[in-house]
Amino acid sequence: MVTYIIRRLFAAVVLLFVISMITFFIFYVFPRLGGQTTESLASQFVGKTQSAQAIQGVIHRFGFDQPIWVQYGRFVKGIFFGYDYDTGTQMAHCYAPCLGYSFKTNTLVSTSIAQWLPVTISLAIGASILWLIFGVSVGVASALKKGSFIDRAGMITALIGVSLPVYFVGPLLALAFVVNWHIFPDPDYVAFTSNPVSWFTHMLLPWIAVAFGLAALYARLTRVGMLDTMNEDFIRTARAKGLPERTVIFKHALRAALTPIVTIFGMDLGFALGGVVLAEQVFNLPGIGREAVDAVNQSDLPVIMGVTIVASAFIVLANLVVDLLYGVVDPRVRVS
Amino acid sequence: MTTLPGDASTLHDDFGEEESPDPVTPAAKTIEGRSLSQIAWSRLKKDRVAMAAGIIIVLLVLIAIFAPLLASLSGNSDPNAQFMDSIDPNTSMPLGSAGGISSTHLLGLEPVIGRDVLTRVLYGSRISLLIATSASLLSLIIGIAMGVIAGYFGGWIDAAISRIMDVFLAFPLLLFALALAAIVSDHAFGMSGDTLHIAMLIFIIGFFGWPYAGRIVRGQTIALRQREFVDAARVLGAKPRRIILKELMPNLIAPVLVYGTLLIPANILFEAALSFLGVGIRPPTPSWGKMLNDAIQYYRVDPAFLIIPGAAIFITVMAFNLFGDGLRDAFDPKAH
Amino acid sequence: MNRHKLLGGVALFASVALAASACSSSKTNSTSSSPTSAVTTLPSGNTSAGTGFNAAVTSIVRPSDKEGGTLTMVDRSDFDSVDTGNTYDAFAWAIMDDWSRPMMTYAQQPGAAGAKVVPDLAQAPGVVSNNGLTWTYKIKPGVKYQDGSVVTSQDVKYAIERSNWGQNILINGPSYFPEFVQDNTHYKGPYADKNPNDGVSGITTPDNQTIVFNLTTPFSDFDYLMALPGSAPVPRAKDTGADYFKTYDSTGQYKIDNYQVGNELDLSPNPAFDPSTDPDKLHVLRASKIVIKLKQDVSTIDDNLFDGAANVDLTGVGVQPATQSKILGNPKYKADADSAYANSTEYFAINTLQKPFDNVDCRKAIEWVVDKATMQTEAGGAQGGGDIASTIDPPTIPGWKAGDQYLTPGNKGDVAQSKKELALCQQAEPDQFNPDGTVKGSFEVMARDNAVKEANMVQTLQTNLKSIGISVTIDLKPFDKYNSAFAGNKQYAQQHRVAVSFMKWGADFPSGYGFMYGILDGASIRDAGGYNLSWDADKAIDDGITKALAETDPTTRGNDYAAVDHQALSDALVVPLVWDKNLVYRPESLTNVIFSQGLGMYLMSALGVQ
Repeated sequence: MVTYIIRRLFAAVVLLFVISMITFFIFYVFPRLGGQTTESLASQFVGKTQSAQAIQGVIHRFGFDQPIWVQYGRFVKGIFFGYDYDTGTQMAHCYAPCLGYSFKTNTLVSTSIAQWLPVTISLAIGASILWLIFGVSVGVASALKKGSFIDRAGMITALIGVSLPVYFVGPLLALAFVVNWHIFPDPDYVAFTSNPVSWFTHMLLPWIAVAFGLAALYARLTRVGMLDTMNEDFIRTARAKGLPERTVIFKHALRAALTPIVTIFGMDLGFALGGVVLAEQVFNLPGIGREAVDAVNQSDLPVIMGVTIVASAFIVLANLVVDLLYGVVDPRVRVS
Repeated sequence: MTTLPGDASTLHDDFGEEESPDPVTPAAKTIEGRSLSQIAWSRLKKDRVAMAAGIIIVLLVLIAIFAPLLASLSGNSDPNAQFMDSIDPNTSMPLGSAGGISSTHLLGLEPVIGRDVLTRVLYGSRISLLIATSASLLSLIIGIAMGVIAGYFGGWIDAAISRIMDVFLAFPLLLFALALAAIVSDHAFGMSGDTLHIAMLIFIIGFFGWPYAGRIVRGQTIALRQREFVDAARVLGAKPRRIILKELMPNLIAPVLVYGTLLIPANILFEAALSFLGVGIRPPTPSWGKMLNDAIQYYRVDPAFLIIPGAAIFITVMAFNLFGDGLRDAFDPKAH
Repeated sequence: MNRHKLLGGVALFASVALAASACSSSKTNSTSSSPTSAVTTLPSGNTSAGTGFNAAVTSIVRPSDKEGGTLTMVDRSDFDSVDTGNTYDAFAWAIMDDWSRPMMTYAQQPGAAGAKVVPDLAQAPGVVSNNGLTWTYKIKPGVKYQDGSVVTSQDVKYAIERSNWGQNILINGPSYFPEFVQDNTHYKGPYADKNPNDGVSGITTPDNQTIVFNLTTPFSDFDYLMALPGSAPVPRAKDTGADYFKTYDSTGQYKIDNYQVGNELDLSPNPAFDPSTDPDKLHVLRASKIVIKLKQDVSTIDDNLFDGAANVDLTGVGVQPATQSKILGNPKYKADADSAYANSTEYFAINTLQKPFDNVDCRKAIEWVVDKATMQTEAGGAQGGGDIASTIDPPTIPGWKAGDQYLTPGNKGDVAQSKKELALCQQAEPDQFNPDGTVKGSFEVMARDNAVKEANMVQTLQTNLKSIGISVTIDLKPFDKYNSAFAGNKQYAQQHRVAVSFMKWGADFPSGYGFMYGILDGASIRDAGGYNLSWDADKAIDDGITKALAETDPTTRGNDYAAVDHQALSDALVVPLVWDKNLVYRPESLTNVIFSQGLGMYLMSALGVQ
């Protein structure tokens, strides 16, 4: 087990390293291939005056005048050890994991991300819970009552859900529940710590918007999984033993049908992040998605880079956890 | 619904690495005297939902091809023509009810700008379908090539390709595409304007989507490689090239076709998401995602402008999903 | 999503809306807010408070000197910085007096008086020497930072040096002083040259109260420069460069308690503020707390004003179209709204480097053919965009005179007149024309790609130009690189045969210099990143601006600027299209509301709450 964990951990670290390299290449080398010069890269960060002094200042502070591998080295060093940066009057330290410095906001990227993360995490966790609960229960219900009205209604809703993007279903929900019926307040982020009830009511619509499509997907998956499992020999055996149908379904069939769902869930967290980005944009929630989009629009490269790295790390981590869980659940995995 | 291409979990139940559908063996062929595709076609013909979806897809393709003709038939041939007389000068909203729907403007007008919504939706279908299908093709081509190579040769080649796929799968795709699309926003690679943006979108969506196709093809190839007819060919001295092309490929058509059909709607959503986030096609070229982006500003006063392009996306995606489901069932009825 | 549309906009003054959210009153209202006919009501004394539509344009609405409760402001974007030495955002400039005291500031008065600057930290307006080259200011005694230490004239000198010469670190703010102030030492700024004894030789502080500026050329608008936020004092010992915004030392009535970037700024009363140092009542405590919520959603911001969740939209760019109809359609709401000039102009710049538009007659052909009436509709209409412009300066600029050139019936353009000019041009440059009288080749017209209305305006221009035989294609480019890489990039403009570029321009301060120097003066031409998109160095214009800057009499100076404006149109360098106007809403909870002609929005730092 220990070697398995170490192996997976090592793979995850290597993966992150490679991702950071590719990301760096794309953001800092790719534009130059497209014809950008050091000055034009730096000028994106400078305000409206565009004075030569400001541009040179950015080039120098950013290290744009250094060879690309030195710039990358500085970036990696920052993540592991932090680095010092010049505020003009003194050297300040950006503590590890240092993801860089935004010239647009004069803020450390890690500080900003720490500020945005609770919003994104609230959104992601709430939505995952919703989509798992609804997806799995609708899927199970459909499978058990195959061909019934419940099954059909469930599957038609699921089909609609899979075809509805967040940026369409979000405003539709707001139109119905906020503007027309006044059931929910306008979505907004209220810190959980300041008012849990308010946090909940303000996040509910975004959760639904993100979860809707994924719940639909999971309903379909669970239904198929359940149907397959219900045909398996061990279910027949269990029934033959005279076990009550409840026990058969919940103790045997459901567990077997859900195991692959767990794996997929780990992978889908990455996809869900896409939905979260869109939902933050639709509902104007100050999470890393909205800020990343803002950063893109303002060419705030350090922020884009930092957010991409953090999001990748999140996906890699989620998959690592799933892998490890899987290793616990299914001992065969460890050996292979 | 997350808007990422090739949502792997859509396919997991059917084309996962672990379990693969029974490819029709040569023996079965001789008995029935019909090819796999003939059998599938006869099954598909009986699936009314899938056939209806197929007809809608054909119609959509025709609409995209003949968009200029249809637009001029509706009386408003120019997607950029403005009808300011029908815009309320005080509110900037279209005069009349439901977003200015009238006999001259069948789907109403855009708020503020006064362009004909129908004409823009018609033209928008071109961008949507062009980008989605081209990107899907790109993903499939790379995916098949890499998947077959990895699956057939195994060993370190497989390990290397699989790791590369892991790297791609760990990217927060939407964020990444967003940043990438923003970096190359002007003239680059000898292209400019819409040509550049369309090419970029196809590249981004297609290139980052290949690992999903690659995984499926790899799984299939591994399963097929161990089958008797491949062994037989190998024993008879066939070269890998021949085995791949003559023995493996024909058996990969089914899963690839199904996956491709399901990839297109995912890519439509992806393109719309990028346009929604403001990094897709630039105005004034019509695109559904951009229309939704504009609509977000006005949906509380002019919901029609939100609902119409949203419905266009929804219907298209739904049709492809239904058809893809039908196709899958036709190739592999066991799935449901 | 919609929020991003706001990031673009005016060239210098940022964060002015692009979306047709801005709006305006009818023509009659616009004349009432023009400087000549504006009614001025003084805040103090027993003058009656204004009520009704546009009341805050001509008077003070609900004047108050009382401390209210929490004043909640909402804003669509974030500050570029809350450091007075590192900002170029219009709304930031309008609120910074809450935590800083610049040398001069805009008079807290409605109407034309509000475009003038009055002393704040300074005791009096600058005293200028006879040759116009030396400006002397004395600061008020006893003004303190929030920690209780006393403000000196050295702090003012340091603040100006850091924001103008220290741009290697403070990259956002304007940089006017190096252009006018003598500097024999070639000072590199406090961040590159850390020796505290070094500094700009042209700025001296004979004592702790006095600061003297020695200029290289007369600059009569100098008091306006001293009203830029960068003149607010910063103590050298406390300066932490790029990080200073986190620990900004307030001299204003409020201090910064908490600034969470992109989220919220909280202000509370500054205990060290001494009202006796503010005899003109520019910093009156009218709220016990100020909360500024940043990056708010455009679609809900107006609702917040109506349901009481917020007291004012700090962005100052006008309400959304839907709200506009709600306000104008309901007398009750309309009485709580104002509509006035935003101090910006939308125009086309004609590229004088592009043959045959180096010929003035060819340029005049464009002047005549442009259909300004349609452009106005596209900008948002008379109710949504602004008034049709006949000059470059909007009517709020002192000395402004209505334009009398290129006036066409119904402002729809005059094709016949235009063709006449084009024929003259053809005679001068026959090799640039086809035998049928059309201009040879195709040109580009440029606009920013983040505003649909700009795209539409250039489309209309395309149609207009086609009618006289000039063929153009449309080239839309990103807002933030528009001037550095495209329209304002000489190489790009020449390679792509750019004939016309759209621009929306607001002045840093309401004077002819502030408005015209950056876009017309030959000295403002840059190879890249400039705003002079005509690329024309007409000596008459440069001399006109220089003459006005040397003129000490305000009326004559105003006339001089009007003459420059007129000259630019005679040269047919730009085609003014629309003077922008904004419709803004003031909830009844808001007190002491003044629409400032100097800022083009409410005087945010003077607002109070009931």
